[in-house]
Amino acid sequence: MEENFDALEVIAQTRGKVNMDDRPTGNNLFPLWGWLTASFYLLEFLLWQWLRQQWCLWLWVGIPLIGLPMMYFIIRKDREHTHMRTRRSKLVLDYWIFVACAIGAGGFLFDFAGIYEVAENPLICLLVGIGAFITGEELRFRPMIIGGLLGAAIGLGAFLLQGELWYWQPLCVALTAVSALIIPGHLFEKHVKDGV
Amino acid sequence: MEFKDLNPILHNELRLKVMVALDSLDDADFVYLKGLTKATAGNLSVQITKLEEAGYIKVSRSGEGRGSHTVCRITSAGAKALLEYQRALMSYFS
Repeated sequence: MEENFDALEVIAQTRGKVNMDDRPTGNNLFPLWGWLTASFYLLEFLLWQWLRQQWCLWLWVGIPLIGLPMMYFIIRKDREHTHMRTRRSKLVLDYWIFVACAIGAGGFLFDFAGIYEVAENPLICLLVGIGAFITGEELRFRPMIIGGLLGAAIGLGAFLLQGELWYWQPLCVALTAVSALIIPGHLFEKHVKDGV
Repeated sequence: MEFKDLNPILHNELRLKVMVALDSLDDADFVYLKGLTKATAGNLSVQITKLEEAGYIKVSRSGEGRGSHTVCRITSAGAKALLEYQRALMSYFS
């Protein structure tokens, strides 16, 4: 049967609709993970100054223990009844899953090996900073791009904090969380709410 | 002037909508495609099956009955066919 329709218009309209559906929403998880990371690493920094106990270095385990159930409830609350995903957003999601696994695995390996102070925290800053940068690129949101670059720069600087200075590294992670996750995350929520 | 033939599988409004949507996405489920195309479930299901049989999309189904979930994804053959279709379409205007 011969079809009678404007194929070019169908193509243009469908692409337009898909792009509209792919608009970012304000339900980003940056502030959640940012506040948790900043709080726990700041606590770790302060407690280590005060107590100098090895268990202080394991406080980071609290971040996924609190963050994962909270993330589950946020996602469940906001879950849409339909599902669609772009290739680029899937790549960004894959990167963050990689970051979470790398931080988790790296944390256990470094802590068990007793070489916590060498590179774990600078690597966390770098991975989180790069993650915020590529997410900002995906969302085309400049504060997130700048915050991510700043976070990665803090990570590079943290590599220099070795020997006697290593205990400043958790503070670098807290600063990275503020610059790459908390500030851009809240700005992005405001940006979406204002419909700018 | 010679006009290229239009691929009959793609030269259908609903199938074309589905293909264009999937070409822009990594994957999309049946509910999303139904909302996007404003088609009836029965008609959409028939057209998705035709595209699947042509090897243009890959359909993965999970669950049964009301809880079933159908996710569609374009294949490389499908993406190529859509590109050819658009080129053929443009040849009518050049």
